[in-house]
Amino acid sequence: MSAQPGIIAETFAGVRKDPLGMIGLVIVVVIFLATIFASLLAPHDPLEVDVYNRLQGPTWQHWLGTDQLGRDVLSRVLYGGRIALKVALVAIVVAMSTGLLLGMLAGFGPRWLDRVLVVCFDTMRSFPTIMFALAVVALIGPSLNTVIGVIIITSIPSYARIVRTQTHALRGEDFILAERAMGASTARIMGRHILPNIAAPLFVMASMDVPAVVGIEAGLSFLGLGVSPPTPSWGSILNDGYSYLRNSPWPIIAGGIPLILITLGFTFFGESLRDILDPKLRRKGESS
Amino acid sequence: MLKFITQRSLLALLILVLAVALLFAMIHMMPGDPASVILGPRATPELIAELNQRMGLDQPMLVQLGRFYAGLAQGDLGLDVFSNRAVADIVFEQLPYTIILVLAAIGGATLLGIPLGCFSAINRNSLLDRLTAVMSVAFIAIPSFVVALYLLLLLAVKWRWFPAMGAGESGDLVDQAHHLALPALALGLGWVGYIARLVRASMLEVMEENHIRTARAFGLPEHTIVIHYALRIAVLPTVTILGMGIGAMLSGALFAEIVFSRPGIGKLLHEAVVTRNYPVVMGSVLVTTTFFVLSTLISDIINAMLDPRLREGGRSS
Amino acid sequence: MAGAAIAGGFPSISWAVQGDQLHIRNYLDIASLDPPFSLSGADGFVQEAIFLNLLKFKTDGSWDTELDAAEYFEAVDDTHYAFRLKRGLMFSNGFGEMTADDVKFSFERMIDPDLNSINAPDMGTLSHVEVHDRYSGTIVLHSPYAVFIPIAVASYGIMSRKAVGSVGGRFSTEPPCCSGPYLFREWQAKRKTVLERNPLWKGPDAAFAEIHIYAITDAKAAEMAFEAGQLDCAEISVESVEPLQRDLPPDSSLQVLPSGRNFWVGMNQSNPALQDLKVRQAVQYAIDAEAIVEATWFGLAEPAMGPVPRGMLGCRERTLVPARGDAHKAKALLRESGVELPIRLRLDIASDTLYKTPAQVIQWSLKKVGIEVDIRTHDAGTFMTLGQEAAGDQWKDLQLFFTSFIGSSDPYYSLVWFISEQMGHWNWERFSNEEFDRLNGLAQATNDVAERDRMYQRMQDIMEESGCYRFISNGVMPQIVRNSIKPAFTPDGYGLLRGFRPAPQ
Repeated sequence: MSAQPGIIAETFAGVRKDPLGMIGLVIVVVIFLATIFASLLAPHDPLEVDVYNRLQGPTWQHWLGTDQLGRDVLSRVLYGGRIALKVALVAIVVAMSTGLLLGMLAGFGPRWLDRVLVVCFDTMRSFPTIMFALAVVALIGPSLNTVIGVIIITSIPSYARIVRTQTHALRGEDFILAERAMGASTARIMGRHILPNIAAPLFVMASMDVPAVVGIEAGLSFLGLGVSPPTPSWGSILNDGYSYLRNSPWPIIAGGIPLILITLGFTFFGESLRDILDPKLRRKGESS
Repeated sequence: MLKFITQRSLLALLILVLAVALLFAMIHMMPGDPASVILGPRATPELIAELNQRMGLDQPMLVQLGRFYAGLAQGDLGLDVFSNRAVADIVFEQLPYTIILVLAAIGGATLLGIPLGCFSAINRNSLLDRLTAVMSVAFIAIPSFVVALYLLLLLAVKWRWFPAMGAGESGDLVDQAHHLALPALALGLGWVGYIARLVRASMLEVMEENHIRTARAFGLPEHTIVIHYALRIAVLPTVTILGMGIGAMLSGALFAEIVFSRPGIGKLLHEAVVTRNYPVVMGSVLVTTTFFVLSTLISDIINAMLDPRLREGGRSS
Repeated sequence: MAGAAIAGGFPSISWAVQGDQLHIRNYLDIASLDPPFSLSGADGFVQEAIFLNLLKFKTDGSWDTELDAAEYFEAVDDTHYAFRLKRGLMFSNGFGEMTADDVKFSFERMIDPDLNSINAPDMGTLSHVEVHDRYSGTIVLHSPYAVFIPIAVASYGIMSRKAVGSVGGRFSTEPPCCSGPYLFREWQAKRKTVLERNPLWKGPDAAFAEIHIYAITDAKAAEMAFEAGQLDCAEISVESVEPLQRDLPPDSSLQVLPSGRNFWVGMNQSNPALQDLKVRQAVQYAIDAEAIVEATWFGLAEPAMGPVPRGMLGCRERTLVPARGDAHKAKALLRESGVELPIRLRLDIASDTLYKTPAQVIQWSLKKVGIEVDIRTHDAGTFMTLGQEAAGDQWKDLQLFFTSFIGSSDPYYSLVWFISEQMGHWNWERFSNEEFDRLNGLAQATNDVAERDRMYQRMQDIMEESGCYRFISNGVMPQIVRNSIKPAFTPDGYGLLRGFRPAPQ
């Protein structure tokens, strides 16, 4: 049942055919590269203060202008990508893994455990994420790690649910029953059969999740509750820009663009992925 | 159907109860005694003692939780630590502004989205239809505070078509509507494309159905068919989706209020978080979460009324 | 008013003339209008309109005083002040005529240990008040207190003994009666305070039928309200001066008034990281005050000579550490101190661009000499408690902080917060110098202008020598005013309600 390499190749072929998906993929790749190579690409040190050149519009020295301390906005935007992607990576990977575990537990385990877990998931999902984040920050105080932690906790239920649904559905399938009859351990079943079938929807979900996660970090940093100065995050660039809105619109313009791009990129790509992978899943008789 | 409604309502209630307990318990999960946590950096021994006594914080947690539920049942959300006012008063004073904003956003999005969706359904694959398709996917994910900032920059600060702050003169409805326009637009913009897409999809489905075909066969004019039959049915899925969107809208409203300096729960919450005023934070989060759970419940019920398959055991996914 | 000194400090005034009404901005909501308990200039702003003092500041932009409730006020010698009240000054709400006994009541309750007023120190060496007859009396001090008139007499109002007694001996935001050109009408928490013209008032000071004082804490919100025509004069944020000058709203004008605030970086010398004098001096030299001033005040302000602003008695002619700082010297000092680099220090600030911007400049400057700085922002209310012993042990963790105190009419008010007695209150640096304390006592007791000038200058030198202070600027007060209003400001840019008039058309 190892169809992995095949699926990946097929997926790529599918994305190539879909113009929006391609655009999304290109954007995603560009953002990744720009962020990873920020230190090479950034024309200035993002922290370098130069007060006598503050709040300038675009010049040859500073393609996106300078902020209120004379720092180069372009460099800050490039490095801001690192925060965004760090948050996205850490939060999604941890949430996904934990969700995977809990979802399989719920799907495969005893009924009562399933019920309890579902209620827990639904309780967590009943909070709008930002609201919950604010409640936590009010208690612990603001920091980037707090933000990441909250995102993880509020994301786990969504991943867990998908995994649970898949696990439930597969639980009664013939080949699973057969394997059990032959004495295969739960772990083996989960590893060999459940996981490959879950990988696709999980991956789609993760890529659709990136914009949301990045948006939450940006939002909280915009409120001053995320990164602390002088760390550039797209949200904190917007926060600074907002205070000096009338002096120069450039920090806001520049800070918003990467957020819009990353959102569009991952959303287009994710939608495209889903369109490609969904029919496959449907063919295997599972609802998603 | 009734069974379904009862089941769902009880579940929603259970979830609310647990959510309340979680928020309440968070104070106790912090290092230090609850009074110092609530008072934060302003915790002097006298204030701690007073708060302990006033709020009964030295009691075991379950007792406190019980008292809190009892209070909740009477609409008591506790007291603001610093001003001694009832949190419920503070929150409900600000709530109407936020509700108006969210309603305006939904209203605006629907007003724009439904006709757009109809047009798209009738003129399939036209340029507008394709544009809407792209918009529906993309716009909804863009953080609404970014949209709000750009709108503020362009329409309020640069071109001055709209005011940049506040809710307007009380009593002057036109002025208030003028102040409402940009924030509502920022909140609702993402949804326009999405609603249009939904309306389009369900209209297309419905337009194929028999009774429409019959109506056509009888020679009824196209626009009559559209308005009377297809549209009525097409609007329902929109309503259910919006129920689910309220959560995102509430968070978005928070940012819109801050960007446009509007009064509302968002501003209240932000200020309370910054001053570490946990009772007000908790009260605000509780109220918004309740709204969220209620709207999800209502949308689930409407969904089930539409699609009987969803009523059978368990959850819609 | 002790609390008025702090970062949040004074109100900014914005007001609108709507017919015969005045709509004004107060930058903080009032905390208490009762003089022993008023916390900040936001309170004082309202009090100035509704209460009479024996003497009040003139509304001509100087710190001179003139008779208000008193028709006679003279220093008999340097511990006795004789006064005689005007006749027929009536308290509102039927509480009768103002008498010398009310003066006695008002002054003595400020130092009443049972009342425990936080503003008691402003009364200095007040002993008691002797009443001679219905309208006259003598205020008696233990020992000379040179600033008694500006700090105590001209700043605190006369309360009615009967009225205050009728509400239990103290009040907060709703005074039982008033005596000034305006009367208190109502207070809406966190929204506004409304005053109305006192029908019994004879004179030009009650120029408006109503004054609405809105509590708007956000400078930008006030700016926009001004532009929307809802307010008529506003203290605006410094960064808005240029954009507004380019694009002035109709019929308005911008004034950038000098300010007497003291913005400085303080260092808690009791904290282990800052106990070494050389480390503190390194921080002083590393900080570039010119850059901070440029970034924060857009060139509208200047680096400070010290807490005492230019133009005031006691202002220094030079600073010990150059305004631009000296990064080389800073690095040398760190090497001499033997401390291992990089060191990490915390910088605490209140959250407003007025503090956040300088904080990041400071962070950058210190980074260049090997000191890593973590900036911690707090809301204004929390920030005020950071160095206070009464709020717990957190003062021990304080390291660097950047803050501002408001000034007043006399250099005494710029410097008294740093005496040893103030440790645990407003002296967060835990600075204690015997000569400083002694000079403070001498300077506040003598009337010799040249002497005081010399002493206050020397006091600022001592502060800088201790390494605990790096003075940055005195700031500015930008105000935007509608041309239909003729405003009145103190020399340090704060509004005086009684001096406001509709402009002659």
